[in-house]
Amino acid sequence: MNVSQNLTTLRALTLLLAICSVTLIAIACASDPPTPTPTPVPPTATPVPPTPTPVPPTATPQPTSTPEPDYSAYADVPGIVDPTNFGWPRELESSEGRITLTEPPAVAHFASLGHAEIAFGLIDPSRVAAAYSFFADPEGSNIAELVDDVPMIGFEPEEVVALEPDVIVLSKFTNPDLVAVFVEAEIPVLRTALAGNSGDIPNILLMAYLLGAEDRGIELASEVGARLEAVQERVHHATSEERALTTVLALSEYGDIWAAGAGSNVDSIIKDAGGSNAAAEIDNFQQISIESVAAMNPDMIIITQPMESGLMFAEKLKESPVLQDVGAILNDQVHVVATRHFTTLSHWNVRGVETLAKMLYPEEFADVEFEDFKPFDSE
Amino acid sequence: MRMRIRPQISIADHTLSALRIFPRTDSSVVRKAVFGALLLGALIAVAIAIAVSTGPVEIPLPNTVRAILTSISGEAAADVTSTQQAVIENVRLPRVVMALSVGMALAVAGTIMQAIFRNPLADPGIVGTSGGGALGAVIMIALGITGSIFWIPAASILGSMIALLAVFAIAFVGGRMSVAALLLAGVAIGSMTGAAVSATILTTDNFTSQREMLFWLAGGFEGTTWTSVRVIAPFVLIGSIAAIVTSRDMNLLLLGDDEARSLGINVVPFRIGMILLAAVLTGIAVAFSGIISFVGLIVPHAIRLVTGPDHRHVVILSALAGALFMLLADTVARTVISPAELRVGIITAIVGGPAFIVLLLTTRTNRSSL
Repeated sequence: MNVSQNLTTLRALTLLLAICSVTLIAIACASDPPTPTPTPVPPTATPVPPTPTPVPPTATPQPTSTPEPDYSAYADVPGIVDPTNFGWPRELESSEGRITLTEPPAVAHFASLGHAEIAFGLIDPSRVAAAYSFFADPEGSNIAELVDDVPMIGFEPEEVVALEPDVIVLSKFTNPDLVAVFVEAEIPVLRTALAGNSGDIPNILLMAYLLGAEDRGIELASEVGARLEAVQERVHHATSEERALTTVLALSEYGDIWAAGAGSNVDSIIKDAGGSNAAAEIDNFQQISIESVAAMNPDMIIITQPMESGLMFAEKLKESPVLQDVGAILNDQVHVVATRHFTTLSHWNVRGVETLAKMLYPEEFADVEFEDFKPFDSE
Repeated sequence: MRMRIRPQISIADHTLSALRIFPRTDSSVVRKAVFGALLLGALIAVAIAIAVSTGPVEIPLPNTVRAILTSISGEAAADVTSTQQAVIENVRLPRVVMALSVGMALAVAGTIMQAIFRNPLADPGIVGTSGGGALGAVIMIALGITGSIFWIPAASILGSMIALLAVFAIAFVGGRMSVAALLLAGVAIGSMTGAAVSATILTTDNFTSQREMLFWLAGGFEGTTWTSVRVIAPFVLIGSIAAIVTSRDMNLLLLGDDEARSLGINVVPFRIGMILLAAVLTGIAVAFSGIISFVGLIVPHAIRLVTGPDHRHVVILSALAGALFMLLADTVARTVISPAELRVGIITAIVGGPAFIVLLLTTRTNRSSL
């Protein structure tokens, strides 16, 4: 190599080092962690976990039913243009612009599992245009039994357009190109962010308003609020001894170990259940090592994945020599929970709150058996 | 203006040239190689110390040393908690050895490929070997054949061999091998194996297996155990030694097939043998770490920039440098956003991608880099 070639190589290596440094700094400072997967993709063949027998709740308040529902709850719901207008036409605003509905939508399509779960609590299944295969997965979906009579479609947007729904509800995770297809097909599109907060009451009310199911929206939102309140009340009565062991780590294993950190819906569930998230130091869902589990030293580990692989992962954790001094292992507090209550973004997260609260404060909830949410009942 | 007329060079001249380029004994070159090996060895020792003493569980350096000594001697050390001992012994040490092994395997495989293809851009990823290995492993996961720790490595090695032999067969036309055809065939086979991997993942109806395959493909060392280290380490050591032993013959291959043949190399069998060796090294690395790109590309090239093209030095120094590079990349991957982790494949791609571009640009003006 001559001198000029050496200089070229030196310049190139300097450029390379600069690029690498900037990139690594950018990663270290990145504020946007990997996006969680709110809706499981394609169907699974994993075995069905035993379905808990619903027992009438003894502590869960029943939904308030008043002869004339108070619609004031709709006043603060983002997306409703005129919260005093409960007639038709009505207008809604989302990231895709303003839509006007001249009459209650006869058939609506819901592209995310979270929205579909809310919808099945608000309207008759006959008004749901279609379902995806993963809606029927009993481990990941809370509406698996309800989609039997709903047409099943694939992931091609053309199939949705062919259904000619009156409105389409999409999540913020939906591919913008897909959204554009529906908008160009002149189908009204409402795109909302399922925040992942337990219950997601604003989304329930917004969808109820969209679908012309205001009364049922009030009922469902009230039930969600009341069930959360009932949990909070019991948690407040917990003794200081009970409160001392409430650090929870939510894990799943898909080749690697993933933890639910701050900002995830599981983080909200843990807080609402009176616990503290051992992985609060990380954002959303991130990969961690077994060593990080030891460093976080949780009092309880919950595993949010399909039952069969979850049980294998739990055994692996219990047998790991690295974790033998971790509180959750010492106290035999490693639990595989019903993933459908923890991983979809809908009011069904409240069932996750109730389950976790009972595990954290068994004495406070000893006399309580929680019941699943009821689907819409036309009667 | 003076015109330079290229003189006709006979095979004998080439032989002389080869002997001049790669003399049997040259004390300065040997000294350079020994110095390089010692330097890299020292750097690896420092990197091991950093890697073993760094992690989410805070372990003071003296305790780290005591824990390592306990691992070796078996005698429990005071002041070292059982968690600290377990973390050092069962998490960090096997992971360090795995990173060293995979880095060494990929770097040596890259060196071999660059020699037999006579192209500095040859790399297990670019030539399609990694893709073949990945396909073999993914098929085993999809079929649920994971009962023995040897199944996935065996399938991965087989996949790498088939891919590389297919590339070789496509490019070997009329008794001669075109380097351009080899690389293009590698790209084609790589695309085909990539498509087959995607199809396998998409058609697997087990969601958990799908996620396992996807995350495994990104490349990383999470969950490494001594059992997996015991499987990969002998392959890498024996494979690297084989590459070192054949490094002189790789030198002769650089002079061209005719020249190598005239100097006593049975070119085609030798090439096929080296291809199989590179495939074994790539396959075993892919089986335990997933696809990690660019290590086999940038490490040998960087070494060549320092030592020159003599494979008697390039092979051994690339092995050490590959091990060092991978260990550093993995240490960065697991500490930069601790307690969360990045996949090590992301780190090597961040470094390797720009390096590949730089290599492309400099190769244009530096065709004698081999």
